[in-house]
Amino acid sequence: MQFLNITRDLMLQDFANIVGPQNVDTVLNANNLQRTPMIGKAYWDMIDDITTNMSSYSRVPQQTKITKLNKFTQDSDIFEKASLMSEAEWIIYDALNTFSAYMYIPETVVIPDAADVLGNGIPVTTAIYNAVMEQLSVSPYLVDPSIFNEYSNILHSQISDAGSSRDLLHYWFKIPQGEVTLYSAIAGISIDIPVYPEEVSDGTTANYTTMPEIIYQYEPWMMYESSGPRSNTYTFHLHRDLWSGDHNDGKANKLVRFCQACCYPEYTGSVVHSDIVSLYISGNLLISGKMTDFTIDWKGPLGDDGWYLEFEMKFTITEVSPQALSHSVVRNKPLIG
Amino acid sequence: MSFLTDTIKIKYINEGFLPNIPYHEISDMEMINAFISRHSPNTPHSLELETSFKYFDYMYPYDDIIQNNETLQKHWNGLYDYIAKVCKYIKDYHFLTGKTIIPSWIASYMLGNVVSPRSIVENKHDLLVLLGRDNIDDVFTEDVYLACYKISRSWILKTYSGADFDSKLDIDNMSEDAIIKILELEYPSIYGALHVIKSLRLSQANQIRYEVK
Repeated sequence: MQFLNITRDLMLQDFANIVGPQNVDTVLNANNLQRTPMIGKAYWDMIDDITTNMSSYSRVPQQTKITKLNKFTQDSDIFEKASLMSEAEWIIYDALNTFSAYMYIPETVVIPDAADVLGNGIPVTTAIYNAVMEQLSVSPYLVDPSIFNEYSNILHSQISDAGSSRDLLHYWFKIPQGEVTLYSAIAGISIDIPVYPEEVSDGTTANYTTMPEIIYQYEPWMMYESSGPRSNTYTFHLHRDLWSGDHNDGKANKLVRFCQACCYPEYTGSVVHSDIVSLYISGNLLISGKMTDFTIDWKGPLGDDGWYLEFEMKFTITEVSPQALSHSVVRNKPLIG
Repeated sequence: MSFLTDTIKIKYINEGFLPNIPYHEISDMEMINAFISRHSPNTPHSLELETSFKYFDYMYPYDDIIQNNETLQKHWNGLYDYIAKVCKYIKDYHFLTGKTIIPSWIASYMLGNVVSPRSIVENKHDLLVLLGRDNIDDVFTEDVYLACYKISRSWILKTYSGADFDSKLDIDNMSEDAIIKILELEYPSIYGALHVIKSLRLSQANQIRYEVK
């Protein structure tokens, strides 16, 4: 669980640099905010609205406070902050499900640890938990700050200046990370391909044999032998900068070697294990089978390390279907598959 | 031109001035409307802004310093009104011909390349050092605005002799080249426009003979 400190002058572009451009809408929706250039002001307008009309909100019951505190036990800094909240801050939390001056970061988004981020992942100690619960159970139901450690739990390094650390690659281009993945059964892991194939062509064949030496037939008798297999070649046009903006990060080589390795078996004694690869697009299985061909063409400018930066990677997968294929099964297949 | 408009649209989408939809689905007219509104807001305010602002209002704000100086008010309003007028001509021409022509100086404002109080601190610092008005906080003072205006006006009047900022365009009856030529006339700016930086650099290199006082 994480919460991000929001200042009044925070702009949308700086917010996007902190949470990632692809996560902006997710985080804003979780906090009932719309996209707007002055995101900090929009957030604080929401807080100020509650603060101005505080008298129309009812006090948060003690049991509710204890129930909500129990959700924060996995993050000692969040637990400490929640324990020490004033009544007004509790009302704001109850209304918005986030702390005053902090935006809630949904579980699917993880942002770097920093001085303005709550959520250290350190569980609260039993002694502190018990002390807080004890004090909240008796009048005046206030938690004494001294029960926490002498130094605040909220200890993080300073987040670097968003302006100077702006990732220009991801600012200008929406890289479809996580959309196209290749799974290897031998490796037991998937690897992300940060681009879509240039185009996808698919086809199906059916093999029939004709009955030989039957005369006087107006057309030959066809005997079904087999269908397929589907064998498709996928071409990817990539650049070594696509992963992090730095072509020395080694990610491109990792992808190339992963794909090349899929053409080789693993030997254990006399047993030869050949790989089954599966290509997923947007979480859907496009094709699964044997990689029968892999080629790579390097071109483009040279990088710092003296190797080409741009490359075109092609691999051919011949299908080994994970399910038995029949007329009805193929008719009911989804769009991607 | 389409690469320029695409770049501006992507920038405005990322910064929230345009809705978060694929940039190629945003028209050039929507892009211009996100840059500047038709009428001058002319509302005195500090660097705090309302949430629904155009890009020009955010990047080149009518701040307290301008508000407290009548000369700067006049210059800012003149700049705003002139840019709004040029943008209207761009929209009218687009409506007539389907083409979008954006003068290069308008593009520099649209991209935020003109140094203003909202630019990154490195650019502000460079401008202030060139002007000889560097300060610890790298902020725009009254003096900085006036110095920029003086250099800008001097450069523009030298470059475009006989410049008439009040000329009206007859879009229906003029050729594209004639329209572009008139729209390329830049209005003197109180900000660090590109010609101001150029002029300062040339002055620094003793290529042109005038001093920044």
